[in-house]
Amino acid sequence: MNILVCIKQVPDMESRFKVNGTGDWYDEADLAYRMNEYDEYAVEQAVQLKEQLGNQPEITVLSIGADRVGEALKKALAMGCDKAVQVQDNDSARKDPWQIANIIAAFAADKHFDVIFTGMQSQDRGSAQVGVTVAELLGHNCASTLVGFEFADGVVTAKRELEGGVKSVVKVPVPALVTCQLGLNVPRYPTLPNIMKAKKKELQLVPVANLLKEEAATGTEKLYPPVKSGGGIVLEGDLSDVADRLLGILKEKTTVMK
Amino acid sequence: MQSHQYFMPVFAVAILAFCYSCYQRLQLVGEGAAENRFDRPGERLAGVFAYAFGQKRVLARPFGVNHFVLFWAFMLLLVANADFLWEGLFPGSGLSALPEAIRNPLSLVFDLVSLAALASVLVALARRLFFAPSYLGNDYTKPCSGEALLILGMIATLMAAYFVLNAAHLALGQTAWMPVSLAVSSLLRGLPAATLETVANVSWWLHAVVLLLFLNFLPRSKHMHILTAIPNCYFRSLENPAVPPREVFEPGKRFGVSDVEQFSWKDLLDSFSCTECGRCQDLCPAHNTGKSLNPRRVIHDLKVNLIDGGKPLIGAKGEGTSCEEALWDCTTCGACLSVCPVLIEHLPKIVKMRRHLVQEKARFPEELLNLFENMEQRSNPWGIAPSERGKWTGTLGDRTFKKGETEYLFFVGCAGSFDSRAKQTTVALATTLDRAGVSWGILGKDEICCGDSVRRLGNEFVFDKMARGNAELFRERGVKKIVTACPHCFSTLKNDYKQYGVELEVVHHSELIAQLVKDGRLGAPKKIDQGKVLFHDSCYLGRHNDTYSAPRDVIEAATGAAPRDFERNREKGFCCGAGGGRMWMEEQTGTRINHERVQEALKQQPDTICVSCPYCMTMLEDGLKDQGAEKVRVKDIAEVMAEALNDR
Repeated sequence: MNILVCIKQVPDMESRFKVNGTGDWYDEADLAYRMNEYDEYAVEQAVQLKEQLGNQPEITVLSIGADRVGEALKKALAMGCDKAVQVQDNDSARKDPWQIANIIAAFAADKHFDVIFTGMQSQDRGSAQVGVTVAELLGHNCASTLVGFEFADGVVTAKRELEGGVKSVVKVPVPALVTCQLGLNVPRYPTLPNIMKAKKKELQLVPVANLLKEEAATGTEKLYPPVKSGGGIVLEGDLSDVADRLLGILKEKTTVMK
Repeated sequence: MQSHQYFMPVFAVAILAFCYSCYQRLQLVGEGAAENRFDRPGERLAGVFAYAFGQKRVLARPFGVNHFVLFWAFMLLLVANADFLWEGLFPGSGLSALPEAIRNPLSLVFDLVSLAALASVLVALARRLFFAPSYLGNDYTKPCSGEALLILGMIATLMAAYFVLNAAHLALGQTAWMPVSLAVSSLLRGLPAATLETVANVSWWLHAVVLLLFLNFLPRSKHMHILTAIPNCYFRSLENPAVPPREVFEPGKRFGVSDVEQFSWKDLLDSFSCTECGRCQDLCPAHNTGKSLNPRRVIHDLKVNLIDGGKPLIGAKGEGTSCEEALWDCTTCGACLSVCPVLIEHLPKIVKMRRHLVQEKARFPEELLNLFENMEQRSNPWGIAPSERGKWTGTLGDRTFKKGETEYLFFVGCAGSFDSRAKQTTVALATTLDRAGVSWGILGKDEICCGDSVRRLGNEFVFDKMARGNAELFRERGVKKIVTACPHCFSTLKNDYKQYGVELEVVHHSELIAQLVKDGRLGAPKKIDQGKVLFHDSCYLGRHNDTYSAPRDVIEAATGAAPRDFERNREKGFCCGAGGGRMWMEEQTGTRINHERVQEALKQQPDTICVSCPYCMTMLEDGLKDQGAEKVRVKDIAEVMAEALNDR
């Protein structure tokens, strides 16, 4: 069995973001990067599947971006992936989801991956388009927003989270692509021997031009923080006084007390 | 002196068996990993005189006097018994061959010392039988264990046989300066000479056989400490014993300890030096609040594991195996280290086993996953953006440390930078330093965590990165002096970082403020009445760094009166429960450590509890809240001083 995990490296969401000079993305200076949270669930699930199948499958982990994505790939290798592919692209932030999906599909086209794991979406762009588009381009079955994953006899039984807390269970025969989200598993903390081993695992470099033949389907017009609408009020002072004032505000300015 | 035929073969067999037992034990110790404990012999010898011959720590408790008597009786009777065995082998060629002028005083000493030994054994027996302290027993042994009774019985028998033997000789007309034996001989007078000969003979053999049995029992019992305690004191850690050794991170190596032979030889020698006195157990905050950990048991299990072989070192609870829960219970408060009479190093062993669990197995309480990721990603336990670190300075303006200009680096630490309560301490210290005109500066968003929690939790790999990062940062910025308001930062920067070549002047704020007061740089602080003030010792300031008076001096300077002490204070202070990474973990077993400490405080009905550590602050405030005693304020010593300065 062949498994592919697609991961993205994103800035630490606790960072202070500034819009960049061209006004179409955030300024990348002074940011600390890490693996996209949803992709950690994808890596964990891939490694769990490998373990379930007696460690037979080979897991390839792929990331698109500048050399810094090597760190995210190393973490995935330390968690249990077997080899890594970096699609070298210093300008990946300007690629739209269609192009990103095409890059992945072009890479995966001749490699016969039985199961492809991706995160539900990235924490920075959050389009949630890439995984499902890859499935479409490859003609794989697809299930998104997974909170449960089982595999038996070539069929993935996926538990999906739908709107309003409703869950659904679908059976997806391989080849299949699943997108993973919070609640699916607890990503493992890599052990030190595995961190050491990860340093020796294969890292394949592929120039993005070898894989990307598509034009962007969408473009970013402008990036800006939401306009501030009204300020918050901080009530300070004696606790019972604060409570009274809060009660007054709730009565006068809102409908919650009516 | 009559000759004892058959003794030679009995002696030979006994000595061979003894040597074999010792060889076996030594060989087990030799299985441990290498560690250099042979440096600075002068300092080591001095320690032997203080701790072994001087019984310094044994005497720290009143009952230790009894052990002191027995120890020195043993030392002197060593000569008497060597002579006894020698005379048995080569009659007439031992001390008896000496002129009377020497022999008589010697006999007198041996006679009196034997009485002292007998008395102390009887007192020890009575203690075990009638007034045993709770810490003598535990879940695997009791004060009146067969082993303990056998040992005491053997010593008592030896003394009794010795007296009867001498008494018989005296009754037969021999003369010697032996007042005790003489008193016993009065009971024998009037018996026919042949009977006296028999009594002497029987006593001699009884003494000889029990002595040889005792000798052979030593290496196979907890009484091995008679042989190992003195070397154990010699090979003690000359550095801060609470600081675990560095690890080397190379592929193919093993990390931490999961098999007993991965411990160092000294760790293994420790296990043979424990005589189960239970003092560590008595002070351990985890054990005292009903948790799995018992430091004495950790050492005992290590020994059993080493001797029995084949048992897992970490696993399900059982003799010879430490359970994971127990290893995570440790607050690294260091009470066990500071109280052990033979300087056993419990704490580093626990950290070594944690290292295995974290680094090789990634097995730890789930709360720690978040902590580790926060530490790795954002270099602070809360996972707050590093850019927020310097925010507390607010109206104080830019206080960035300037190379070559600023005297003290104020290493604010994670709590002081991010915890809203601890930030008040930070500001209080900053204003106090300003008032004294101390030149200080911070690293702001460039400051990274000192790594205390991750190191104690066994995540040495992450600690290593932090320590190297900080060491580099200090070098780069030309830092020479550091002040910190957190004893964990203080101790880590001061002691642990030595392993990384960082030898700076690191002071805790209590020491610096106390010095500023002494130098008159703070003028005469107005004495602000804080009501009845209790001072809680921080483990990392007190026990780990031996700083007890500085924080008390600061309180006295600010309030006009020395603070009161908790019932358990200074070396015997009771942890708040947050050290060793416990700050970031749930406390699910037993009662809560901070509740126990708060209840201890409330007995004295204080108005203010003074602390010198942000962790203690959190734990005691939370504890007071849980006990419905919020009216008792918790204040850092810096806050108390700042108040006294502002009110001028």
